[in-house]
Amino acid sequence: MTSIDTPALPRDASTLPSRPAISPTLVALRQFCRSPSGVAGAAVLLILVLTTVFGPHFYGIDPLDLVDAPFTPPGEDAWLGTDYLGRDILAGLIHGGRATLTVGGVAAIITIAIGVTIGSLSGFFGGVIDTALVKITEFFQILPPLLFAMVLVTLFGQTLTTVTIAIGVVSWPTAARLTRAEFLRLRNLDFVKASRAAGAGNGHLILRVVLPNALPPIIVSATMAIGVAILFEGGLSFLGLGDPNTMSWGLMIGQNRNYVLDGWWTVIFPGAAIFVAVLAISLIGDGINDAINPRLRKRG
Amino acid sequence: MSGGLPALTRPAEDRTDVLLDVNDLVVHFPAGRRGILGPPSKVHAVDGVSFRVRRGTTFGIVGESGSGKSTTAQAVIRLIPATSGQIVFDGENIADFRGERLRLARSKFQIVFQDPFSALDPRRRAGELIREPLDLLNIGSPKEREARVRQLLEEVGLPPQAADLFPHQFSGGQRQRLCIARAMAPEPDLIVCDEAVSALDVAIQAQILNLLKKLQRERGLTYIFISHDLGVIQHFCDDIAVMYLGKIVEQAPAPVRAILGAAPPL
Ligand SMILES: Nc1ncnc2c1ncn2[C@@H]1O[C@H](COP(=O)(O)OP(=O)(O)O)[C@@H](O)[C@H]1O
Ligand SMILES: [Mg+2]
Repeated sequence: MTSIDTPALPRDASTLPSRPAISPTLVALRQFCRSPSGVAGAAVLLILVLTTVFGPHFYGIDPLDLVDAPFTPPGEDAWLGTDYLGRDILAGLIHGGRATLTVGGVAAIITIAIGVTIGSLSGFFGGVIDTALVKITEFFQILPPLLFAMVLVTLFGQTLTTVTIAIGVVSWPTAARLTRAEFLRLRNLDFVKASRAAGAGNGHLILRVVLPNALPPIIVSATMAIGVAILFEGGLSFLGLGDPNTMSWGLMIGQNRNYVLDGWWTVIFPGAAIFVAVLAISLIGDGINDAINPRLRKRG
Repeated sequence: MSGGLPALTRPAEDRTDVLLDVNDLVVHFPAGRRGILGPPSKVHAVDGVSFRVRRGTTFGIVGESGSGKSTTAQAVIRLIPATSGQIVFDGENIADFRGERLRLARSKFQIVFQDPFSALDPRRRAGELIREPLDLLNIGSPKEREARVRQLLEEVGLPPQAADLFPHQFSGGQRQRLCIARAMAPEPDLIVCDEAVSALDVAIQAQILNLLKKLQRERGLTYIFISHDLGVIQHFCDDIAVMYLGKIVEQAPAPVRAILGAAPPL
């Protein structure tokens, strides 16, 4: 130790930057815009969303109307052909996309809502609460998800709502485990203790202190959950457990799957739509991951 | 000071100069089981520690790494649950405090951590961080809180525009000043400095120690000062306890200070 009895306290403003940095959220956003795959994915997804939202106004054919002879190949009469009943495939894609993307988005929200709630309570409180919640999570995780979802849909009816909820209910354990791990990592950090010392209650600590810092990986997993849910909806419809009264990409594949050889276009186009949507979403997820990881590395 | 909590009325007769009286404090951490069916084993991090801290003085705890210094201090200010023991703070056993009562009592005891990097939420600006205890403990009006933040920055030697910066924009020493400003915000009686200067360069250490001394002189603050550096402890503390394996093995007034009379008047 050198002498600590220097009489005057020197101000310490020497190296202080004159301007505040932009917020971490904006930094991540800026970083995301520099990731080519992320931007490409976002652009593709935006086009898909705009098409399903505004497409019906420009392409006025009802997807459930029998507009032409069955198995009309793509051409003058129907741009992308018709299916086994003579329904227009392009109309099906446009209208069905709305249902498929909605199911994906809402199911992902349900997945994340359940997963983050259970995971954060489990990781934050630890002890008996953690043990109980981990048991519940494990129980849901060992159930085969597709089978479990099929049971739920069979029990509660083949509507789009049931399908969405069923997908959310079987998908949350992954999000819960991820959130729990983040909370376990963060909850004993000094700044969380400092907040408690500053008078923060458990609710404030969970929602305002720990959760914002746990958010980056949760956002990535939420993005991925949308893709998984879209695939799931396709899978259920393929097995004949989708909503038969609402056109969706999965339903188109499911209903036409027996006729692939009579008209490839009946299945290939909705299949390609699902593929493109899921790919775009996973590119976005990668972009977000790239955007937040340099910062995580710097912080750690 | 604007917007502080009203000063507690203190009965004059049982007003000793002891601010904190810790009796037989024990903290055990669970450490898994011995074998699959064996009894759950425990880490005896703090194993029956007793000490008194006089108001307006600095109580030093020194000891090697892992001897239980941090656990003791954090259990005393109720950041780590104590297994047993009494913590009499300002005449009340705060070991029994629960829920809202404990939360509100926290304004009276604060902490400054060793690593100023991990002690500040990276997502929030310095001003918000200093304000947090005022907001959470409902001290003063929103306007007064703003003024208080500026005043606290001034007191720890940082310019007012520091309030808008994020923690990563400060140097280590500046960050520690922020932590001190934040700990000072609710006008506590006791501040635990857990290795508060150990992570800093020697020159910066001296600055921070001087800052702590200045604040103690001006406010009559009481410190629990933890370090593994006996030199710093001897220089800075009025009483010293040496910890080893979860116990206080030696306790004495700081000899150097007593002999040289180097202590500033309180
Ligand atoms: N959360 C915890 N869980 C289990 N053991 C812990 C925990 N925190 C501290 N310990 C143990 O308690 C003992 C005392 O630690 P600590 O109080 O941090 O020591 P010091 O601050 O003196 O270096 C150490 O053996 C440490 O491993
Ligand atoms: Mg320590």
